[in-house]
Amino acid sequence: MGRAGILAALLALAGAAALTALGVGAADVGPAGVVATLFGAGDEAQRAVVLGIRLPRALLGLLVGGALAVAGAVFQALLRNPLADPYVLGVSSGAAVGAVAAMLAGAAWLPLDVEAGALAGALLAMFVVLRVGLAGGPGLDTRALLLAGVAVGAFFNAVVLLLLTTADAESFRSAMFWMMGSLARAGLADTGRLALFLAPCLLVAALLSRPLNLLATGEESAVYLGVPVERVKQAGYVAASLAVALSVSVVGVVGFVGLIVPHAVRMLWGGDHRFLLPACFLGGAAFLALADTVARTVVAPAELPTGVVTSLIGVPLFVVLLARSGR
Amino acid sequence: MSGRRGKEAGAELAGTDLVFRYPRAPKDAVSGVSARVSPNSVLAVIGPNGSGKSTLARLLAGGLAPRSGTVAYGGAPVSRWGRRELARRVAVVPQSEHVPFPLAVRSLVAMGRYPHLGPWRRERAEDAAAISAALARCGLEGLAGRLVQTLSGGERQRARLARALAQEPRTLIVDEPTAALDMRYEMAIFRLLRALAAAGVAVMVVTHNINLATRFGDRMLLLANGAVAAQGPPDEVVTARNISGAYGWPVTIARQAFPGGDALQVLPG
Repeated sequence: MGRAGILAALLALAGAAALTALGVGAADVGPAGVVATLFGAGDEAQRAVVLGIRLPRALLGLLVGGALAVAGAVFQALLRNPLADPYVLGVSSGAAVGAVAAMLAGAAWLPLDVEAGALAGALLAMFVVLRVGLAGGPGLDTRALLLAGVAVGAFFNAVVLLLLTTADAESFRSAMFWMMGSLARAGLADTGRLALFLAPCLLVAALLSRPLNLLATGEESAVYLGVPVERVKQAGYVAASLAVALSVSVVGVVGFVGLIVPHAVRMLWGGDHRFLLPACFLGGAAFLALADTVARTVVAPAELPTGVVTSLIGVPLFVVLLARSGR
Repeated sequence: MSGRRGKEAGAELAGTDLVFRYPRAPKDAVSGVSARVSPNSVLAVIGPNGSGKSTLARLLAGGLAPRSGTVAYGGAPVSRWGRRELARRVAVVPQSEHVPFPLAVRSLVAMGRYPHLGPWRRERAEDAAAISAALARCGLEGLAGRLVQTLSGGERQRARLARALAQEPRTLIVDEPTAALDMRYEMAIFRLLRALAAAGVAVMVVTHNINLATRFGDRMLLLANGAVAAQGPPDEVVTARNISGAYGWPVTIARQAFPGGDALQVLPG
């Protein structure tokens, strides 16, 4: 199967994941019913469930799953490190500080909702880490960036823990749920706004795909091949970090998608970013939409945190893939 | 070279009074070195470990910016050339390279076409032809589909050289191209560099193999402690006195009857 064929298959998979997400739940609507409802048929109750409740959530899952996987692939390429994930530069920890602070205090004396708090925290972490990465010399220093990301992340995690010691049981619980990631809060307007802001980030990533290929051989080699390495790095880090900050501010810290989807795609079909990035978007989208469907159905009427499910399902799949590919 | 880009004559790459010190290093890696890489000839750079050979190569290639001194290509400072413009003319084969993700040999070599492509353009027929030719010249046709990670050290070195050839450069800087190669490929690579020079390319090769450098170089540059210890035609540079002085070990030159056969011999010390 050629690359176009694989992408078409992944697109179909994402579509199937969306149909499943729309159909499955307390009120079971078959695939035919879902399609009919999307085109305006179905009774009032069914429309309310499928279009009002499940559709925003499914779209959010597709969007965030895709964005996190693309951001993970970009970070892995820029840092030339297979361990990199979307949260490696501390963006998620910054977001957690903002979100938890907003939860604990915001309601009382700040006009800050959780989403805005998380976004502010994520942007702060991103700014600090990139600033440190630039401090050492004429360009962005990858090593300094990585260390700064880990250090800033650890600091913000400590701040979160400190904040949590002051929390009552109720706030503590909702903070924990936020940090494990959940798509439950989604409304169609939030999802639409997120899509609008994510689009330019993903476009930048797509434009960088060929230079990212060359960067895999090292920054100096890429320079000799004519890549404007500094511009590529700065654009890539900013675009990927922004995508992560935006995603995390809406859904919390959904782990694992951004680490393993890029690896799985590479193992199965190779690492050319012109193919890897779109494949990651579609694969990550399908994966998170399905994982979220599992999260909200297996213990219904209660709900599991989505970030827990992504790991519980994703890790075994990934380990099998890892063992079978012999790396 | 394929000749399609032969319309532009090669130009000289010249470094003048170059000084460079790595951050936090106690002394200059290169201090006051001048070197010229000229079309139609092979410049062989030799010298002991830490003498500044690779630093000089990186300075000339624009991978490092000198603390003082200038590097010019075709008479214009390298800093005024766009990176892509320069990469269409000057190719560099670094000493080593680590590729952290799976990558096919052909894809690695295809990277050499990057400076020739527009931002939206796909690989054209002439790109594919340049890639095939580069693979063939480095004896890699059979390995095109293999992952770089599964190659031997010598095969990887040849793949990096093939990538540089795919750039169809007018100037080629090669840092230790034969360090991991057996003697057959070592000879093949030096003959390839010779053939490139005969076709008009300006070649600079950094090497530890003094005998082959003498045999295949038109001019030689002997570095010691970051400075030029000797330069000129090979028979003037490679004398027992120069080499012993630079490397700190006694040597003698054994004369042979066949051309290019004179060989450096290391004495017991």
